[in-house]
Amino acid sequence: MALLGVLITGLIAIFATIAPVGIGPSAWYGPHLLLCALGFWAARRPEGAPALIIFPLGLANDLLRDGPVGAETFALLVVIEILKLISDRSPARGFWIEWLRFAVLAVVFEGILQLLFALTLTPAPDWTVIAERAGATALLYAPIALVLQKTTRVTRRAPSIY
Amino acid sequence: MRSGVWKTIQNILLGGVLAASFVVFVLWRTDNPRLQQVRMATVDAVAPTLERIAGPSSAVAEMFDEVRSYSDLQSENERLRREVERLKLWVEIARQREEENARLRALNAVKPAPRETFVTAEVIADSGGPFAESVLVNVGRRDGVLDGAPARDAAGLLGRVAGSGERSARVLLLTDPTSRVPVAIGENRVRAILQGDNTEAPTLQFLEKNARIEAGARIATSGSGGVYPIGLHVGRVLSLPSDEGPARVALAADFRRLAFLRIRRIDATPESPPAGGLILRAPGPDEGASSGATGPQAAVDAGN
Repeated sequence: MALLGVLITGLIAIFATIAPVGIGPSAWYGPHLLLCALGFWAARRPEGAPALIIFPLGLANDLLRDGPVGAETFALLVVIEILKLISDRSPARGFWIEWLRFAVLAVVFEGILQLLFALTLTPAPDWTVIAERAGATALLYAPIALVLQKTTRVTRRAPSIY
Repeated sequence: MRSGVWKTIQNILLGGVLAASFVVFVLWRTDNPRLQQVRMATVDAVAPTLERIAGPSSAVAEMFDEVRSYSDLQSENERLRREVERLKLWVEIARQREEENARLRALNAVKPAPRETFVTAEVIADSGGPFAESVLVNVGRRDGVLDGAPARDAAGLLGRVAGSGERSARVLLLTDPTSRVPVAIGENRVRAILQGDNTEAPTLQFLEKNARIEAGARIATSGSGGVYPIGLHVGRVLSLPSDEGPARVALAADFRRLAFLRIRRIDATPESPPAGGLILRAPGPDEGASSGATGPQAAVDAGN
């Protein structure tokens, strides 16, 4: 059931990201919706967000957008895996802790991307744009998590297989 | 015991997908053409879904836009009335010029350049991230759209096709940092390269040191390099080069209301017309709303 939830919310996040709402240089890049959606499942149902599901979702996200293919998938896999481990070993006692953890990992996500770009000499976007996206992703996690909680009724972390 | 084995399998799988992601990234970095094919095949596969989503999302965006512009409605109406009057005059002038041109071409037995037609495309998705300024449109190779074809709106150049699938294509906008367009400025046709930098006003690079350009000068494609045809309107000089930075360009195309755009395709070279005859547009494969001639002929069509 959690697997299906991950798949559906992941696909909705991808399509919402590329919907032609704001186009051009004046448009706001907005948060990383797929990271928010997968972060929710990784924090609350770690077993429902296996790498084999995250990989195709991340790759589809990269392919449909005109960005570096594979880089965000790599960063997404690492960050979600860290989040799953943390959630499993010390479950968040409240939503604030869960939110704080996600916010830190949203910054780590951008850090991994920058590291990949530096290693492969890929031109990276301006750091203000990156900081803006990391901030927006961290901030938007709360409303997204609340909406997902209401719709999926996943309220807290269930016992995992770890 | 079983849990330990399961965990080992999971770790191996994780390592595998991480390695696969990195390999894909390296392939992308080395501009692997197969990856581009996979990307366009993926876009082609989801294009029908994207088209269905594009309608409602555009409606939402338009709704916000309309609320914002409601207060300016009266002045906008007035401005448009004046614009219509001005354009009526230009339609008449274009009609006269077209007739004159046709007569002169026929008299001189000029072999006209390959005829340009445009296919109108709807924007079905945008790049959705800080890495690129591009849009996906719902036309592709089956509609005669090929890589490198320029895309424009009614006012000016928007960019070029940077990847085409069977029924979808990706248009790289002029504002993208990787976009480079050879342009000619003003009546002196001063050459420069228009380079995007993620702002609304791209920069002019490689300007000659003592180039005589002035703010407001018209900028059009120079045709150098062969990607863009000569004479496509790009915009006007916004600011001249100074210590604060390079010259910048006010683009003519409206990027904020980008719902439809026109992508160029080239038909066969037409025969020289008989003396006194008009050079008329040859009917395209999907004649009607989706294609039209450029330049004065388009203005004539619009006026009729």
